[in-house]
Amino acid sequence: MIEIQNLDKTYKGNVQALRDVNLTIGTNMFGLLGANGAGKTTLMRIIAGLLRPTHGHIQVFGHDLSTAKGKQAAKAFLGYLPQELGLYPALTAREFLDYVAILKAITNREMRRHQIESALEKVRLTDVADRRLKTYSGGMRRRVGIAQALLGDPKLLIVDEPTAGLDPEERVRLRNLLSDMAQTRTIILSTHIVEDISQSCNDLAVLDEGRVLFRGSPKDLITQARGQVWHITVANGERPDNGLLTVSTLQLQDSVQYRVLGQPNSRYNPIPTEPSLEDGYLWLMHSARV
Amino acid sequence: MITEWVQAAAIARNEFRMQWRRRALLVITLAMLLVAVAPVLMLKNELDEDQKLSEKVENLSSRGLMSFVFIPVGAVLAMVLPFIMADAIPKDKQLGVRELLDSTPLTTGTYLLGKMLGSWLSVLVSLLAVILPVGAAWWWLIGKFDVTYVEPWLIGMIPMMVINMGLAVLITAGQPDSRRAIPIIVAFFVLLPAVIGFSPNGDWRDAFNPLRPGLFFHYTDTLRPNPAQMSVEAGTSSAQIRLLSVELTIISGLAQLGLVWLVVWRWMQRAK
Repeated sequence: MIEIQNLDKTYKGNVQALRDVNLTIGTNMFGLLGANGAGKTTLMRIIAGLLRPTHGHIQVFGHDLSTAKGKQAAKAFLGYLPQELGLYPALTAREFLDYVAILKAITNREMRRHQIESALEKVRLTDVADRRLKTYSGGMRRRVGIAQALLGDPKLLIVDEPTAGLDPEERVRLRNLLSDMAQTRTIILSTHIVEDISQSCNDLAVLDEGRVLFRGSPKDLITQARGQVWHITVANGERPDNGLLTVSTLQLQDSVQYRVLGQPNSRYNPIPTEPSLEDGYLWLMHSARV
Repeated sequence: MITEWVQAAAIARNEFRMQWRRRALLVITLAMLLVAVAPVLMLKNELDEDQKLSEKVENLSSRGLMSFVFIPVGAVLAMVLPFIMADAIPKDKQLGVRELLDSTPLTTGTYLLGKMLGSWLSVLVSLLAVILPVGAAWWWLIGKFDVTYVEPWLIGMIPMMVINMGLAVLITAGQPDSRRAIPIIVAFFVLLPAVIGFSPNGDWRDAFNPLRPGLFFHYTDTLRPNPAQMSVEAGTSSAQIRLLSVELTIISGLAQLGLVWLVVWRWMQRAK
């Protein structure tokens, strides 16, 4: 269980990254949604014990992160995949994982070997594990990052944009892997890809300018946009009203079909449509800004 | 405690592996080897089989080995290798690995110790990779030499390696990348010695000079015909003065290393 109370973070130059964040996160997969710069990575880094908050308290499985002892104890059961993952290009994937495993205090050689092989298997890198990391593609590097986060069988897994750079097949595999793991542990998934959340989380928060704008289930977020989603078709060259939020555009033979949020003029003959999680998110952000 | 040692050993092994897989250390080691092998080949052509057996040649051989091989190797150790070791910590930040390392239960002290052990191990292997084959080649091609001559060199070089490589790793710890680490090394290992200067007879300057002249002069004195007969000042031979200078250099070097360690450790703890 992670408890966050009245969390503020202000960077140098008075840049306020988080404002009065209060969250309780239990076992299962928790999604963090938000635009770039919303404060997601700052919040993840604070939970991972990499950054000190300016104000507020945070407890990870009963360990107070404001103390060095608590931080050290919390890191013992943490798996972390940073947004911008760095690797040593001169090492092979197996050597790198072995290195991280030792730093995670897995000192038993046999146990380490078993966990490394299992992690490599999960991210499908076993065949290329003895190749130097400098020869890996972006997606493969991301998978190495995921593999290292899985080492040590962490009770808390923090993954920041894990699907960035992965192909669709790998994305689905990773989502399934995380969902399986979430049954017995806490996973915090930060992303701006709404689909990743809709497919794997049953609890989420939306951050905007450092504030928690929404907290609830994906279903609740979808409900926010109910009655606001429409399909309208206009002639080529014409655009819908300025007041409408365009979600998608589909070019037809002699017209354009728009999926819009808001209340369109009846002259468009709007067709009401079932909202998706993306609609709910966009409507929430739109409403907050208006 | 065992976990910390295993972690430090893993960092050292990783550092050693990366230093050797990158080209810089390998190139420097090969260059040192080339410089050290050249006099062997030149001398070999000038001596015939009978000459090789004479005692005079053994003496000459010993001095030649010490002068042509160990002095340039020592100079590289003092002035070039700190540049190679300077990015041990900045490299982690530059590559973006540091955030990952900080998310593990690794303590700052273990991290620093591992990095220093790695730099010592890398340099030690580099020195051995030069000295052992050159010594063997010398013995085989030129003739046997007095092995005890190696002792003063080791007395000088091992502490220099420990102190200077350790300092190179620590004083650059706050830099975000290798490029920013280099000026720090230039300032410490090139400009500072120029400011402090050398003392011909061994005084306090030897203790603070990062090139550790006390260790060098002790070694070069050994090469002279008979150190005990050298100029005597107030009842103490210069060899004895040199030995005092060696002890002073080592003690003050280790004290500098300890002090810098403490400052860097505290700074990194606060930054966490």
